[in-house]
Parts: sequence; C-alpha cells; structure tokens
Amino acid sequence: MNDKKLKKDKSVKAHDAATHLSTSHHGRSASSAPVAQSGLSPLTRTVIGWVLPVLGLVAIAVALLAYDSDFLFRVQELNLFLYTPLFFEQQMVVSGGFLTWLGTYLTQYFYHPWLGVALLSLWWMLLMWFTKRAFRLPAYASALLLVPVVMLLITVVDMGYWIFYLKLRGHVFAATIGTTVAVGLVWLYRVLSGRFQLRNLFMLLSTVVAYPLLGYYGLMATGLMALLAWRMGNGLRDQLLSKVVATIVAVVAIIFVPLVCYRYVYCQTPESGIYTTALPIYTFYGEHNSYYLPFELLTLVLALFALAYGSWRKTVRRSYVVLGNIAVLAILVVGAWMGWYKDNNFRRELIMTHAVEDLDWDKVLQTYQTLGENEEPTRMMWMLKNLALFRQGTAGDNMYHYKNGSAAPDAPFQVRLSQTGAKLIYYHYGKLNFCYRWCLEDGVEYGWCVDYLKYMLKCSILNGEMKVAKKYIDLLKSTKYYKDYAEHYEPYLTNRSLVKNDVEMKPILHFLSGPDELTSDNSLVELYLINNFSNDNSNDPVYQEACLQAALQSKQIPVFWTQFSKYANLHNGQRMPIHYQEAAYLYGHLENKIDISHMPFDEEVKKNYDDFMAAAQEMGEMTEEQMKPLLYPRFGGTFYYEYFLIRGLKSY
Amino acid sequence: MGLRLHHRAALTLLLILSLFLASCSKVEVPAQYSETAKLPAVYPDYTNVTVPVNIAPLTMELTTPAEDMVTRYSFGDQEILCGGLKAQPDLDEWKALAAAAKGHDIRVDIYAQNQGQWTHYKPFAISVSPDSIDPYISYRLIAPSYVTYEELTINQRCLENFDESVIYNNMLAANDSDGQCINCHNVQNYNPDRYQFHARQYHGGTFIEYDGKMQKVNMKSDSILSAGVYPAWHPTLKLLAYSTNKTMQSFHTRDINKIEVLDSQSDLILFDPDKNEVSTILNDPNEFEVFPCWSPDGKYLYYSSAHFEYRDTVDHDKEAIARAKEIKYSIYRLPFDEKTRTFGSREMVFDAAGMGKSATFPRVSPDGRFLLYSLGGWGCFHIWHRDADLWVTDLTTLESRPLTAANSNNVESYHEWSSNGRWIIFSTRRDDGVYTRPYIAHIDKDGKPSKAFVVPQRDPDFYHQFMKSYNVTIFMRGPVTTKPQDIFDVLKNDNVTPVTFRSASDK
Repeated sequence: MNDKKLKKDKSVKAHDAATHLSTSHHGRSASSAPVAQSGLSPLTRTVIGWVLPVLGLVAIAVALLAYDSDFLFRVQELNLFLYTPLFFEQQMVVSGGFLTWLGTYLTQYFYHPWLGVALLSLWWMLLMWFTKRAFRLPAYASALLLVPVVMLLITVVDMGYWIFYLKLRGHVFAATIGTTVAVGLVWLYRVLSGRFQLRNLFMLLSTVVAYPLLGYYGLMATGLMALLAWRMGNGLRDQLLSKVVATIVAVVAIIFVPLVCYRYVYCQTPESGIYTTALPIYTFYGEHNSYYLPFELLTLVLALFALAYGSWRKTVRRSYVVLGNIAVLAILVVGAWMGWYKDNNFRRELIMTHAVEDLDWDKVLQTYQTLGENEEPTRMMWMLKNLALFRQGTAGDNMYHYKNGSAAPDAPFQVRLSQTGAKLIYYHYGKLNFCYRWCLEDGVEYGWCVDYLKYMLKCSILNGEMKVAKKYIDLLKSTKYYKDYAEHYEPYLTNRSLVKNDVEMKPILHFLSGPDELTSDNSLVELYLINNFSNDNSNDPVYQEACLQAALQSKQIPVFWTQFSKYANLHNGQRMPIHYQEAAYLYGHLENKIDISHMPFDEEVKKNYDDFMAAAQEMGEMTEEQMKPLLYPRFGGTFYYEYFLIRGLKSY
Repeated sequence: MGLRLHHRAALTLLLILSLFLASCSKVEVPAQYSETAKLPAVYPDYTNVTVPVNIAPLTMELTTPAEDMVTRYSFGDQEILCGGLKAQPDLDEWKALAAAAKGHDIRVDIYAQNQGQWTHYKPFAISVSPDSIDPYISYRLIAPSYVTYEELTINQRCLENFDESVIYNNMLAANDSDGQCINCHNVQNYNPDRYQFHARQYHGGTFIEYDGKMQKVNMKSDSILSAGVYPAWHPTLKLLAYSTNKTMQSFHTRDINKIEVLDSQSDLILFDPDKNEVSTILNDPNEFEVFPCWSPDGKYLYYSSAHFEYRDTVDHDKEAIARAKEIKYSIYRLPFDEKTRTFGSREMVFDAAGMGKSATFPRVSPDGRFLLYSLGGWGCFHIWHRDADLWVTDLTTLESRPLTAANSNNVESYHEWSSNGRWIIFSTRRDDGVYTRPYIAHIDKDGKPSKAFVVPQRDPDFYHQFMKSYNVTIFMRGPVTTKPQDIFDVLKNDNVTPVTFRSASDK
C-alpha cells in the first residue's frame, strides 16, 4: 500500500516537473491536467494505458496480414522507389514530396507483407505514443489512442480498385507518417517553454518547414497547435490575448505559407490544391467523397483531443473505464469492418494475377473455382482462367467447365481492364505493343511502378529492343527487391537463345509472327483480343488455337468455321477437343451450310447436344433466366449452354 | 568525467576531419597501368566530338564495369583530374580549360581499375570550336506515352552550366478531373521575351508573351480546321503562321515504332496578335500543308505538304489510316510580301515524295543558305519513325544530302539552328529507341556536320534514369523570365474574345 502511494506521489511529481517545463506559470495546464486516476490500480492503468492499445495494434496487424497480404503485395508492385538522387529530386517538386518519397520507400517492404505490416505498425505505435504525450490522454481513455490508427487503417484497406488509379504515391504510409510527424510536432509545441513567444515562433517555423515536407499534415499540425493554445495558454500575461495571438499566427501561417510556396517555390500544384497537398485525390469520373471521410474524422478526432486537453477527469470509476473503452473498441471494430473493402472477386483477381506471374496455372484455376454458388466472375477472372487453360493446353476441353459471368468490379467508378489486367493478358498473348502501351500510359497517368517496368522490360526483350531493355534493367536494379529480377534478364540482352528457352517467354514467341496493322483496342481489352484473334490467320498451331478459341467466344459462325477448318488442318490426325466439336456440331445443325456428316464427333458430344435440345424444347415456355438453373447442372460445361444461355456479358 | 567527454569530442572531431580530408584528397593519375589501344566505352559518347567553347562540362561514365576510374581532361599544361566512376569536372575549371583550348582539342585520358589493375584507354579528343552556342535552350518534357500525359513542363536550360528551370507547368492548371496539354513553344528570332505556346483542354488557348505583354488567344473558329498547331514566328513582324490540323493516332500491333500520328487534313493560316485576326494561307483539300517556317529574311514561308486525294470509299480518318504509308510530304515555299502581307504562288523546294520519301520540319539556316529537314519513309510524325534522318538542301544549288555524321540508325527530328548558324540541336532516339534526347552537332560554313553529342548533364547517368522525352528543343539568347504562375494567371482567364477570321474577299 505504501509502495503504491509512493509510486503515485512520484508520478505526480514527475508530472509537475514536466508541466513546469512545458507550460508558463500562467498556463492552465499545470493546474488542470489530469494527473491522478485514483479509481484505477497501477496494473489496471498499465493494462488499459498501453497493453490495450498495443493489443489493438497487434489485432490490426494480424487482420491486415490474414486478410490483405495479396493486396499489400500488389500495392508494392504498383509502387516504385529508386535509390537514386534523381528519384528524390523528382518527388520534392511538390509540397508533401518528402512524404511521398518516404512513403514509397516504406511501401516497397510489402514485398514481404509481414515486414511492411510490421513497419506500418511501428509507425502507428509511434503515433499512439505521440498522441498520448501531445494531448495528455489519460490512461483510462487509452482506447482512444486507437481511433487515429483505425482511421489511418481505413485509408489503406478501403482502397480496392483505387490502387490502380490513385495518383498519390506512397499513399499507404504517407498518411500515417504525415499524421505521426504532425502529432509529434504538436507534442514538441506543448513541451516548449511559453517564454519569449517561443511557441508562436515554433508554430510559424513548423509550418514553414513542415508544409513543404508534409503538405496538408504540416498545416494540420499548425491547426492542432492553435487549438491546443486555447487550452494551455501561450506565454502572454493576458490569457485571452495569448490565445488570440496564437490563433492569428496559426491562421496567417496556414493561409500564407502555402500561398507563398505556390507563388515562389513550387509550380506543380494548382492553386486550388495547395491546402490539401499530400492527400489522395479520390476523383475519377466523378467525386467520391466518402473516401475522404477517414481523413476528415482523423483530423476531427485529433482536433477534439486538442480541445479536450487538460479537461479529462482525474478520477473515473473503474466500471466507466471498462465500459468506455469497450464501447470505443466496439465502435472502432465496427468502423473498421465497415470501411474495409471486402470484395471477393477483387481478391481473386489479385491472387490470380500473382499466380500468373509465378506461372502457377493450377493456382489460377483453383482460385477461380472458389467462386460461390451465388457469385459471378469478373471478365478479368474469366480471361485469366482462359489464359491458364490455354497455357496448360486444355482450353478446348475445359474452358466452359467454369462458371461464366460478367460481374462488374466493385468500385464506385468505371474500372477498365486496361488498368487492372491488360498488361499481363496482352503480354501472355504476345500483344507486346499493347502491353507496352498500357504500361506507359498508366505509368504516366498514375505513376511509374515496378509492375509496369517489369512488363516494359520483358516486352522490350521480346521485341528485340535491347537498348531500352537495358534502361529498364538499370532502373529495376535501383530498387530493393527487384535487383535479382533485373539481373536475371541482363544476359538476355546479348543472348537471344535465352529468350527461346525461357519458360515464360517461349510460349509468347508463337504470337510474334503476326503481321503489323494500325489499330486500337479502344480500352476494351477482351473485345479487342476476341476480334483480333478470331479474324487473324496463322500457321503456327499455338497461335491458331488462340484464334479458334477467340472465334468460339465470338459466337460468330462463319468466323468459327474458318478457324475450325484451319485448326483441323494444322492438327491433322490429332484428337479434336470437346468444345470445338460441340461448336462444330451445333453450328452444323443450326445452319446446315457445312456438311458435318463426315466429321468424327464423339458420341458424348452428339448425345449432349440431343439431350440439351430436347431439354430446352421441354422448357419452351420458360425464359432463359428460368432455364439457366435447371439446365446448368447437366449442361453447364458444354458449349451448347454457353451459346444459348450465356448472353449479354459486359466487358470493360 | 568532463575530461573524458572532452577527449571523446576531440577524437570525434579528429575523425570527422580526417574523413573530410581523405575525401578531399588529390586525385592522381595511377603510377602503374597497362595500355590498351581501345577507346573507352563512355556514356554519353563524347569521343571525338566538336563542342562550343561555352558548353557546360562534359560529364561521362564508363559503360563497362570498373572498380574505379580516373579521368584527365587536358590541354597544354592545363588539366582537370576527376576521380570516381563518374567524371564530373568542376564548372569553373572546365570553363578555364575550354577557353584555353578554344580552336583546339581537349585530350581525354581515362584510366579504369579492375581487379586492382589500372588500364589506360586510348585517349580521345573533344574539339573546342571557337563558335559559341546560344546560351539557352527550351524544350517540353513529356513521357513517350500515347494518349495520357499528366505532368508536362516546358523547361529552359542554360547550356553554359546545368541550371534548369520551368517556364510553364501544366499541373498549375490541373483540377481533379481536367488536365491541360501544353505544346509547340516557339520564340521569335531566338528572343526569349517573344514567345508562344499552346495550352489545350482545361483553360486552353494560345499563350503569347511579347516584350512583357502577355495575352491569351482563343484561336477557335468555324472557318478553320482547328486552332493553330505548328507555329512559326515571322522573324521581324509580330505575325505568326500556323498549321491547322485534323490529327489522329493509331497503334501498330507489331512494328516497334508502336504508334502512328497522322493528319487527315491540314492547312496553313496567318495570325496577327495585335488584331486578333486569322486568315487562310493555304487550304487545298488535296494537299496536307503543315510545318510552316519563315526564311530568316521573312520573305518566304517554307512548309511541308503531301498531296493526297481521298477515294471516299470509307470515312476520311479510316482511309488516311489505311493508306498512311502513301502520305508523303515534300517541301515548298511561298513568297511573302511584308507590305501587303500577301503570299505568292508556291514553289517546290525539295521533292521528297518524288524520291518515295517524306520530308518534315523545314528549317532555314540563319544565313539563308541551307534548308534542314527530317526525311523518313512516309507520314509526318517522324519522331516515332526510326528511319527518319536529318537532311540538308543547299538553297543556292538545291543539292540535297543527309547529315550523315550527325545521324544515327534511329529517329532524328525536331531540329533547330542556332542563331549563328553553326550549331543545330535536334531530338533523337539513338540512345535507346524510345526516349528522345537533345543532341547538338556543329555545322561548318559548307553545311558539313560533325559528330553529334548529347546536351551534357551534371550526372552523366541522368538520361539513363530519366523517363521523359525532350520534345521540340529550340535555342534562345537568354532565359524566359516570366514565372509559371504569372503565365497561368493569364491562361486561367477563359473569357477571351475569339479570333476574327479574315477571308480572302476581305483582303
């Protein structure tokens, strides 16, 4: 008991000392800051004060890793950090550029998602520590420390398809670092002596330094300091005057520092955006303001912390503490759950993309098959599945054994395949110029990233453009995790046989014999590939089979017969895959233009056709939508079902 | 305790001082080395080039592996020694050396260390021409993309050092949903106080600054194909010729040129900024007139034109794309009467189409003797055509020839004469086939070029790392002094009276 009392006394004294250092003798905080929480035992204080927030942080980290590892890996693929002075200089041309530079630096560690999450968690830990110090949050209210963290978490996990479109580089870390430094500055401001207008000078200096480095977060720090000044005084004898002066300094700094920077320092930010630099812009074919909500709440919460400075009760009943913290935690859990982007197809696309890059075709197909009964695939999933089957040589037998559909990507704007999957798909189908084009277009529009550089490198090698391939190799060598990747391809520049023997590139070489033409995909990747291949002509058996599959998907009967006939000639004596047989059998009966009587169809193909037509006839009065669930169990893997019942698919 | 702290501080200071001194230690040529008859493989390739006396230091690095390198630039008894894998001479020392070597050669010796052994490469020369070069160039920095552009700047660079600044940045006009494309900056007679450039889309218009007076021009008119595109300042009058173009682009599926930009129609117009008035110069529907350029005396307007007759089987854009390789431009000129501001009949200057070729961007040398242009197989967008080379026609004899010494097996285009006519600057993709870089070549009084060299950068590896192209590089006698923000203040005013169109009957 005595020990406890002694400890408490010490803490009071220590606190007084700190207060004396940090406030003027006229300041309010010295007398009103919360110091004693006599309702809580030291153990409880420790548990609630730090163990609770740390446990919360661990839970967040585990959730991030368990649920979003593929997402975070993709984030780093769409990021670029180069260890060059030029890269640093290029980030520093805007206010907040330093944050971008640091953000892109740390984002690269998501190459190992656990490492990236650990770093992010450390920043959040630091943020909590600063928050506690800057605003003197009492131990009993420690769940509140998690509020800014959860807001920052939501700015990461709510992104979904924004990862392809967001122009702010290093976004995942930028908000966290910006907020942490801002709160750190507020803490420095608080502990600074109020004498000689030091705090006002610090506030001004902080804005002048922090705005160029941190953009909006620098201004946020100034605003928080001004609010804090109303709670703790600012060094003048006249308390009100002191607060007014601090407010004036803050307002002048917040208004004029960005304006001066706009006029004389930077020329890459429009005047309308000077107060929000380093914040992401969620505008893409319209405003998507809901994504700003976590940022707004983050600012609001910190402002409330500042306004609450010194007004926390000294004693609180244990039950209130427990209930209060539980309530805050519950709200945060619900908030995080609601803010977390949870679209299954998006995740499948990420996993399938990763698997294609690893040439793990089985995983691509397995991921596709995780589609639930009531779920529909996106067109990207369908195309990646077809690519996997094509690479395995089983598309002609299996491509319709998978549920077809055209679920729209779950985003509040029009997602285009050209941003999400075009590079990978074009590359593997040998449309190198189009792959290269979308890498360049998106690199310019949304920022260069490792992913695009990798494809530009491989396209250049396959195109024989070795000089520019060397450029991309050198750039990738300047990254942390893709140096080996670049070095792997370096010998390819001088040894063409390596290309011919490369497991990934070898199949692509089949597509490089086609003629050149001037055309455009009009940003519609799937339609372009179907049209291009189905109307193409090649004597390469691999290429030609892609043409036949495209013809099959186009459902254009004359185009199919042209490709079918060519396929039969190029594969003379070989078994004809089931779907090609089905289409030939169906089209032969539908049009009667081609004599199919001499064609050796499998009995199963003929039987399925007869059964399907009979079943369909029995359901003559039903609509297609009514027929689908009845016919799918038996005919869902046939071209007949596909031809008659899968219609109106919307590509994007 | 206090004493120990002092000791520690002193030791730390000593250590820092020693490190500092070590880093400043004098570079020396290795005492022992082996000789090789091979020239060093350096980037940029400055071996045996001719440079102006006032050029910035020629920095370079080896493209072959080396553990260390010593580079000696010398003339007579003067020398600059650079240590480290990048040779980056001090600006003042370089200036002194170049001034001393004026009219002679700077000798460059490179010593490379591998596995502890030093090798001395065959020395090479940098010939220092007494012909100086205009101190400034300006250019647009643009990624070699197709449709998107995002960040575009028109920059200026002092050729005498490494100072670079932004004349205008399109991001000043960016809002959340709209962007602004900027292009075609052009100065009157090398004068940085008289220039123009176009802004398209958001807050679009043509920006003109003339002796401190800034104006935004709205050149849209139903009477012309488009707002002005390729500009040409009259050398003395406040008058601009423009092409107007219906431009489109399409993409190659296999060809590594990757993209084709072409016009389905183009004409020439004349614009008077004071009257805010445009008039047609040429608008023959069967001719694609483009790339105007005044002769230095202002008495002729040169331009490229392709004769093209539509068969009208499909719409014009599709037909132009389908028959793109039939579009071949030759170079013509029109006499111009300054008093009446009228043009005479066209004269053929260079019949490229007759050779089965296409000639673009005619540029007349300041002495009026040579016509410089880019010659490729077809079309007008030679910046993406790897076969495009620089050619010159002697206007006194009409004899034409390629600038072989300055050309490469890749793109050469967007060229410009220096004000004294002894230098040309042009865009080329010789470095890697994708990113255009500004190269300079000396042209002697007979129009003969020397080997071209890339505009030097402080870091010789800069171009390897830089992901943008240098576009439309032009010479200037000095810097543009107006701030980008001031330019934007003018451009953001969308309430601009459109130009009036003066038809031929009004003349």
